[in-house]
Amino acid sequence: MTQSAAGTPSIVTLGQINQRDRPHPAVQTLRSLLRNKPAFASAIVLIVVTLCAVASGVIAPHDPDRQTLALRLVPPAWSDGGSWSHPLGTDALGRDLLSRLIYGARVSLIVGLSAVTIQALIGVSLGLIAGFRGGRLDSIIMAVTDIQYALPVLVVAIAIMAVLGPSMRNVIIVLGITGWVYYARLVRAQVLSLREQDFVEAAQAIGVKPGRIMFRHILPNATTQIIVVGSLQVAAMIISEASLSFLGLGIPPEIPSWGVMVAEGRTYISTGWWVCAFPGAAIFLTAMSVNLLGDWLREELDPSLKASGFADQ
Amino acid sequence: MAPFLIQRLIRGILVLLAVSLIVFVLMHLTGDPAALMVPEGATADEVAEVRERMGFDRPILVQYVIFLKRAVTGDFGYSYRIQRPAFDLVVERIPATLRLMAASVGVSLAVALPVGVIAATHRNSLFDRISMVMILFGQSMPTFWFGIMAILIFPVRLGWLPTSGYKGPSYLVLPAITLGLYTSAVIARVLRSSLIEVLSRDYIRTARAKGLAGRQVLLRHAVKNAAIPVITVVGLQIGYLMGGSIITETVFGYPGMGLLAIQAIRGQDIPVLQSFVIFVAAIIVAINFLVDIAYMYLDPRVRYR
Repeated sequence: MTQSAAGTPSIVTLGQINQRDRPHPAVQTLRSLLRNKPAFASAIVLIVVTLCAVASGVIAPHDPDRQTLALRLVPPAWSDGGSWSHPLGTDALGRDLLSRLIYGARVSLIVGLSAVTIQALIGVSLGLIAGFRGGRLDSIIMAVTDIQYALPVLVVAIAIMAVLGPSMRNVIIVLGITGWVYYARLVRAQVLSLREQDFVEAAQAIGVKPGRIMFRHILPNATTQIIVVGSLQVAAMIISEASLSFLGLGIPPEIPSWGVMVAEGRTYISTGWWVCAFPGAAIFLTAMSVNLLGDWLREELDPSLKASGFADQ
Repeated sequence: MAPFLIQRLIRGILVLLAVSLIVFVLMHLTGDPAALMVPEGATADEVAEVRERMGFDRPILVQYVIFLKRAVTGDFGYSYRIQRPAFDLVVERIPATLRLMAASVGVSLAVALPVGVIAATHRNSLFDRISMVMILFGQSMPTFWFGIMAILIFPVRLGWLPTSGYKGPSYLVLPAITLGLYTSAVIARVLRSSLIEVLSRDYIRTARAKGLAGRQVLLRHAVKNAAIPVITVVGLQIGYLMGGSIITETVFGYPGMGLLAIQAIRGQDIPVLQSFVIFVAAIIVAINFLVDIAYMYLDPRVRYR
């Protein structure tokens, strides 16, 4: 608190304190990110992956599809027989591995983000309806989530992909419609606790329409958790897409993707370990960065977890 | 007690009905199901014969009922890669897959229980921090890649352990570790946080105050209560293990249901794929039922709900 010239404390409103002493929220978040070394490193990894995805054509040293059979299975630059024109070596068809990795980032990011968006849209809507309407509709939606919980996403995805056939659009749809359960449960629980709160009852009392209450009063209070679940789901979806592609049920082999690259490299594991090792490492590193950043985000958005040092729940 | 079990039983039946519906719809999405059920190059007469025999010319609802009746008796038609009932092919592979799943649950528990307990009782210690990093590793690792790298390092480079197939327990080591990796991480994480929560409760303080030894408090009072969320997670992981076993079996050429399913997909062997999906659902429902019974034993509150 500041002292006036006369020595008596002057009255300062909360808003003024905020304006004077606290930096902008974005600056605060950035500072917190800088303090948390693993999260900061993850952010850098994800920025690099995003750059690769957005500007593949500019960054990639070679055409990812150009086959040079004379240069089959060239090892990485630092080992015997390697050359810096192919820093990570080439695959069994003589294609540049680094360029394929850079292009592969596109698939992982597009599928991860789109699948999570679809999941969140379905899950949040159903969760809102179930929590807000209650009754029979709630029972039906909850029964469906029960069923979905009991079924392994991968088994359902495999069955559907086997029928639909491999394509990026199909992968996004399948992962999108199988992973909505978490959001639905979360949002429903939030709605159930929030709709008893005074501010919602007050809004109802003055005649605010249910739709408006849902979207203006209840949903904003659940966004934090939705963002946290969504961010962690991105990692899960990147791994799921890669797994489906590895099995030959995800991204078709014409498109460079990390999962397909691992599958292709598997055959040459004893003669060309790098073909399989690098794309897998890229999946692992990206998924781990997303998880670390998600954990940081959770601590950042939920101050009660900060005291414990770890996000325990 | 009985109402709880009956409620769970009804849920299990609902799950199976839903799965049968998914399988049925998928079969029809592919176009003419009769065409799918005959070998490639079959004549129009043969297709018509199958259509009539399987009832594909009847109204769709009648067809679903017929499909359900057949499914209950395990009749999904013949596999058309191998001229044998699809159902039998899947059943033969079940012991191998269950063996792999059991081994990987064993690996997971052997790793996760000590790690979770030590991490929770020595919170923020070096061990705790290292185990948190390992948990993060386990959760971010693509199973299929881990399996291939394990093959590269152990059988290929070091000459230890076999690469693929199944001829004895040594063939189970790498697949069980690969499949159990993610589950270990999840169980360790849940056990740690649940034990930290339980250890801060009043009854633990009371037990300590009345002079019980630290180990006794931990084992008799804390671990049993902390086990409840862990059991839930193990139950939820069964689904993951089923999906993961498809990947693990493919990587290691392990002769289980998952490998059969992948071969069925590659060969467009729809009857085998159908039997597989229904069977997986049935196994998951059965295991979850056992998990519910374990619940009742551990948590008396469930019995009187």
